Amino acid sequence: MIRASRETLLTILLIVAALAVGNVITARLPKADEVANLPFVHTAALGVPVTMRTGTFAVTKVDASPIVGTQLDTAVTGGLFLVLTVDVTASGEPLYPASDDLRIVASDGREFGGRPPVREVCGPAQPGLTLTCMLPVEITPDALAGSRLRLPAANRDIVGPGESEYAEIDLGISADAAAELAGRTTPILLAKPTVKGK
Amino acid sequence: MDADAPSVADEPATPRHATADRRWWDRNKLWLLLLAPLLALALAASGFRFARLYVPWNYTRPQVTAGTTLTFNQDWAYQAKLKGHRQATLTVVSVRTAESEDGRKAAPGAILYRIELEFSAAPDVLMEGCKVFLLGPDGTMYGRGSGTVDLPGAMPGFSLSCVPRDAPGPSIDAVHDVIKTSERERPATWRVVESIALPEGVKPTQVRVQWDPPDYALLGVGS
Repeated sequence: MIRASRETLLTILLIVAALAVGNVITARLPKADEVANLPFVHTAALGVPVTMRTGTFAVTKVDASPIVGTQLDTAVTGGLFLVLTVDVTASGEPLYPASDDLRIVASDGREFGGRPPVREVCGPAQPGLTLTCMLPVEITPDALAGSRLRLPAANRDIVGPGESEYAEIDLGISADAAAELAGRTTPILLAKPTVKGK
Repeated sequence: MDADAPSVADEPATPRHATADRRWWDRNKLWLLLLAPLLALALAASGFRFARLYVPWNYTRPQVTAGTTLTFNQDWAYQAKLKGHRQATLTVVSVRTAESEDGRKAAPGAILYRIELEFSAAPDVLMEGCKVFLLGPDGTMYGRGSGTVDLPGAMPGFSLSCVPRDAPGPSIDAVHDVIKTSERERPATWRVVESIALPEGVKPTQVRVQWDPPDYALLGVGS
C-alpha cells in the first residue's frame, strides 16, 4: 500500500511539475496570433506615397459630402461620405486595390468601411502606370478628426486569413478641418479611374 | 501488501515489471485503439486551412517554350463536379505596337501592343475563359483592361477571351453545372486578337496564357 501511494504521489508530482513547466513555456513563448498574424504596417501621411508588396499607394486628397454619385447612380447618407483620391501604381502584376477592405479608423478606434452604395470600380492598375481613383467611405462626422486610413496591400482571399500587410495613413484631419469637412454639402461626382501615366 | 514481504523480494524484478506493463497496455487498449481515429478526426477538424496548400489555388506550373508555338496540356476541374482535359496548340502569330485596338488607345505614358494568337484544339475541348498577359524583361505581368483610354464615341466590344465570338465551342453553365455546346461547332484552328498597354520603355518578352490554375503557358513574342 505504501509503495502504491508513493508511486501515485510521484505520478501526481510529475504531472503537476510537467504542467507547471508547460505553463511557464506557453506563457513565455509568443502566441500564434501575435506572430503568425502579426500585421506588417507601413505608416504614412496624406500625400506621401507608401510602397507595399503589391504596389505604391498615396492618398492625395480628402473631400467630403453627404451626397456622392456616379454617372449612373447617386447615394445620400445621414452621415457623411469621406471621398479619398488615391494614386495606385501596381508592381509585379495588375492590381485591384482593396477598396472594399479598406477602413477609416477613428481616433477612438471605431472603424468605417465596406462596400459603399455607389462606386467606380478601381482597377486593374497596370504595373508601372499610376491609376487615380476616388474611393468613398461612409462615416459619421464625429469620427473625422484624427482619423486614419487602413489600406490592405491586397483584397482578402476567398480562402485563408485576411491580408496582414497594410498601410496606416494619417489623413491629417484636425478638429477644425473636421468641422469644415462635416459642413460640406456640395455633391461629389466620383470620376472614373484615370491613368496618370508613368 | 508489505514492501518487505519475502515472497516479492525473492521474485526476479523483470517479470513483475513485464506484468505491470502488460496490465497497463491491456487496461488502456480501447483508448489506444481510439487514439488513431481521434487523431485523424482532430487533423481533419483543423485541416480546412490546408485547403490553401492542397487546392491548386495559384499559377505555379509553367509550360514554357522559347519559341512561339507550344502544345499546352492540363487537367481541369470545376467545383469537383466537372472534369476534363485541355490539349491545345498555342501560337503567338505576332506582337506589335498599335495606335488603337477595339475602341481603345494607350493612356499617356503607355504603348499599346496588339497580340495575335492562334489556337488549335479539338471542338469538344473547353477553351473559354482564358487570360492573356504580356511579360516584361523583369517578369512583370501586364494585363488587359488597364493603361488604356476609350476612344471618343467608340463602343468597345465585349469579347470572349481565346475563342471565336460566333463559335466559342463548349462552355460551363454555372447555374446547372453542366457543359453546354455552342450552336456552331468551333473550327479546329482559329485566331484571336488581344491588346495590352505597357508603360513606355518596357518591351514585352513573353506572352502568358492561362485557364485554370496551376498550369499556364509561356511563349516567346517572336521577332
